[in-house]
Amino acid sequence: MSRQPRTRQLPGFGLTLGSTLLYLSLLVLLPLAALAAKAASLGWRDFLAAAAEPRVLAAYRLTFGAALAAAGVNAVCGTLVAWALARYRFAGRALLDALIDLPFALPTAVSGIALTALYAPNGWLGQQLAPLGVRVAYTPLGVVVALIFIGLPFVVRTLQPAIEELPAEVEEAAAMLGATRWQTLRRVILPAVLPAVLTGFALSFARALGEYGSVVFISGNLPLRTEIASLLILTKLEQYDYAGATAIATTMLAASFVLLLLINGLQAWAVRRGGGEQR
Amino acid sequence: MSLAVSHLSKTFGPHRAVDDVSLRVGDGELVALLGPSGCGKTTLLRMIAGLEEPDPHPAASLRFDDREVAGEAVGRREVGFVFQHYALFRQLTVFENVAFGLRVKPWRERPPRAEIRERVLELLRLVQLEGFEQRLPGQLSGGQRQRVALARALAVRPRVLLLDEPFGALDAKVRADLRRWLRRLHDELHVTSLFVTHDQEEALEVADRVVVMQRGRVEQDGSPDEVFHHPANAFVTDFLGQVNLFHGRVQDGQAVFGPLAVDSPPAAEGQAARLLVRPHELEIHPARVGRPGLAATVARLQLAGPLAKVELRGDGPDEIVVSLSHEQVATLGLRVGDAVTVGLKGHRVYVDDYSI
Repeated sequence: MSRQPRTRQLPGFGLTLGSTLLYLSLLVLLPLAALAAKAASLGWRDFLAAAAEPRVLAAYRLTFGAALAAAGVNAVCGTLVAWALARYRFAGRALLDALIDLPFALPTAVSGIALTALYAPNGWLGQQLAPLGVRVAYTPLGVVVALIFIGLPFVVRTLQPAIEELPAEVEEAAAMLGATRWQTLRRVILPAVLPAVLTGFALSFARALGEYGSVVFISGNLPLRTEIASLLILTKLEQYDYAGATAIATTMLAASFVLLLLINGLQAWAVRRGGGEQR
Repeated sequence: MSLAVSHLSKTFGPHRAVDDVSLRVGDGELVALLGPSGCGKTTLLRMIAGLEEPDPHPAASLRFDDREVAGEAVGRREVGFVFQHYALFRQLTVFENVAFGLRVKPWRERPPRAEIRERVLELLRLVQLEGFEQRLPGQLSGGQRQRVALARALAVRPRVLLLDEPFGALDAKVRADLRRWLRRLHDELHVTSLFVTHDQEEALEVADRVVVMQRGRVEQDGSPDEVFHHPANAFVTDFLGQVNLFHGRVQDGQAVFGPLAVDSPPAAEGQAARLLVRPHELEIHPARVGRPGLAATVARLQLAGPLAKVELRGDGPDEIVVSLSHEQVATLGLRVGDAVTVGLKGHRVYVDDYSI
């Protein structure tokens, strides 16, 4: 083997890339490969039968649909929260800021039970909503609510630094040119923070896809109605249907990966539109 | 359109950033607001733009021609503003940046698309950025960005153009080019302009009139020639270019600075006096000639540049800087370590307001 003398300007490339690959292999690739290997041993017919039965399809629909809806709501509301926290100084701001991280820290089962208690038909909020004909607990809406709860910090924490970085001068420049507040928001501010919004959306969406603990309490887990994919996998495992569980997991994995790739591509496009780093 | 500011003040907490300032900018005039950082010049500019609210005061007024604009919204004042750090919209192309002010107009006033296009291209030609329409600001150099910012401000045909340290973030060569270009552009457009700078050279070279500010107040308002050659006080003298400062006292109607004695403005006996002399107002003689003057030795010769700079060490703590032509240096045969005497060709004496 011949060695080519190479010099790099930044030291540590070999070391960091090496540890990155080792780390990712042990923690991410190996378990995923095991999953794929197990799925491969199934054969096409069995795989399709396990991955595409009506109950499983319903679970996919709910999982992806609710995750998208929750990430969408978070992208909008999280942007508002991040704006308020990043732009204004008010009493209780520090407290509010700390509160944002709570869904990160709280055991998901705890948040699930708390939300269920709140939104159950006899719960504090559920009681108010029931006369309006809105049921939250034990419906797909409940799943969305739980996913919004756990996804919010992702959007807020991604956006806060992006908004703080926006120079106030740019808004002043827009105002001097005669733009209204709304025009400034739509033409200047939103395009500038769009990449960060998309990142927050992707993180929130990814988290929602895999969420289990908080959802199982509020959803009621009715097959074909409010059963999410991760619960279905667990159910299959409990019934010793390893093949079925693997098939669902592999499908989820592939779909999530493709979706996240798409969102990342979209975000890269938005960053390019943003003209990269500059003042 | 002319611009008249009277009795404007602005207080931030305990700090008085602008203190009862009045000034006028005539129609089509280019005026520089010059002062050290923190002197309130940017705050004053931002008040004129409407980005900052002046302190309420019965006599405070801000007029464009005869129109009082103090209460008017920022977008209604017909003011163009150029920021030090460009403040371009980074996700918009150069074309869209310049077109912004036209596109956000209410539809009744908005020009048709073709007209917007024509106007933007015309402005880009004016700022010498033809062919850059589709670039993003991130792909431009600092000087190019600032020219885009200027074109953007001019697109809405402002009646007053305000520039906040427009060349402050650029390197020396580009600054010098751009300020000469700005002067030519102003001669072409004749839009009433007020620009803020802390660079005396920039102010003296570009402006029709220079307003020197310090600690929120106007120290002097005059033509570049006036403020340079007839500075109103010690601050202006010191701020407009390099000066040598000597401390002395008033004795028998004369201000005495060691071996140098000059006529003093009327002042009480024994009062502290300051002598300010620009480097070109000093002359050097070899010590052996025996002329009266300050005794000093040559500490350093700086021969790069159009004029030679000679740094001298006298008895004072500060070095004395003298600028001479290269011929004079050669004739005198100056070398580091030579003993010389320094004489005055011109000077200014200021007697301090307080007595000790």
